[in-house]
Amino acid sequence: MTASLRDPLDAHLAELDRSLRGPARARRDIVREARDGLDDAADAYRRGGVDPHTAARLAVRDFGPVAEIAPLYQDELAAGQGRRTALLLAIALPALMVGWDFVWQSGLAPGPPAPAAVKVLARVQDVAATTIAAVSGLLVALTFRRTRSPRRVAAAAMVTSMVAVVVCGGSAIAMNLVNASEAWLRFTTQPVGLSAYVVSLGVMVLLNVSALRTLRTLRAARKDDRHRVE
Amino acid sequence: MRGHLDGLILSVLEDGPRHGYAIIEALQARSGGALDLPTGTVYPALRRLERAGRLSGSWSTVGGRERRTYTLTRAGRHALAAQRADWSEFSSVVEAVLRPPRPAGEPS
Repeated sequence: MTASLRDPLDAHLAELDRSLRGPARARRDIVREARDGLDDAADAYRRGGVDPHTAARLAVRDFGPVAEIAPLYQDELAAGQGRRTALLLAIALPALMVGWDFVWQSGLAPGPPAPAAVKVLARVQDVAATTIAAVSGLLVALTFRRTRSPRRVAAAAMVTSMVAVVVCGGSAIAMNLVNASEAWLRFTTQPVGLSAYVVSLGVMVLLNVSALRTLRTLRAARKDDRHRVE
Repeated sequence: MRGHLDGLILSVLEDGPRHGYAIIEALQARSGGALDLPTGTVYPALRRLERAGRLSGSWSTVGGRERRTYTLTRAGRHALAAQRADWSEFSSVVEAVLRPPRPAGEPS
């Protein structure tokens, strides 16, 4: 194919690519499929006897302006990212609870009985984690509803994830500060205790990253709306 | 048109898997060219239907080229059947109302 044939298609696809925000793989997949579609449409015009450059231009015209199409894709990218975030919450929080229970009950991380304040905080954390996991499960289910606003569900997943980081992460830090010397001992001398801390921290970081990614896909969707209004 | 696009897409996939452009061609052919919507709206609609579990999409080789091909799922078939029933009920109601009244005096 000549450069002049590719130009209108390339320019349109580059513009589409620039307008989308979300997981890189999902974006590549979207642009690749759009390219196939545009190539097919241009081929059909050429078979009809139109010169290559005009064929490409007509294919681009039929596709529609990026400002109109990109928001539709962006909704799907936001929904996908929101689903990931909600799924991560629904799996990771119960897994952390079970994991820590195992650490305590297995006797692999022995220590004196926890002070009352720690017990209260642990109770708060369990209730919060269970509630958040249940809400997240519901949000995952909602992402399968075609008619639900995908952006609202994604926004709810993002907020839930941030609440999880603040409440579960915060109560975990508070528990360890209340009982700092014991926590330090566990951190430095018990391999099981240490790995439990590392895994928990990792999960909190992942939740945060996932929430921020969702925020980014949603902000791109809002920007699309503003362009559409203008 | 946007509200009906999802149902129309499901219906052109009923007789077998197709890729994006083939779906667009089928929509145009079946409507006798009357269906005039930006082709770019079809691709996000396919993603939306895939997210909802009504289609499954995957890359496969068609005619020597890699294509993202969509197949109707069981949930998609159910959704299509439901949409058909809704539409035929809706259109018969509208038709009954829109039908010109019989001239006065004619026995009913």
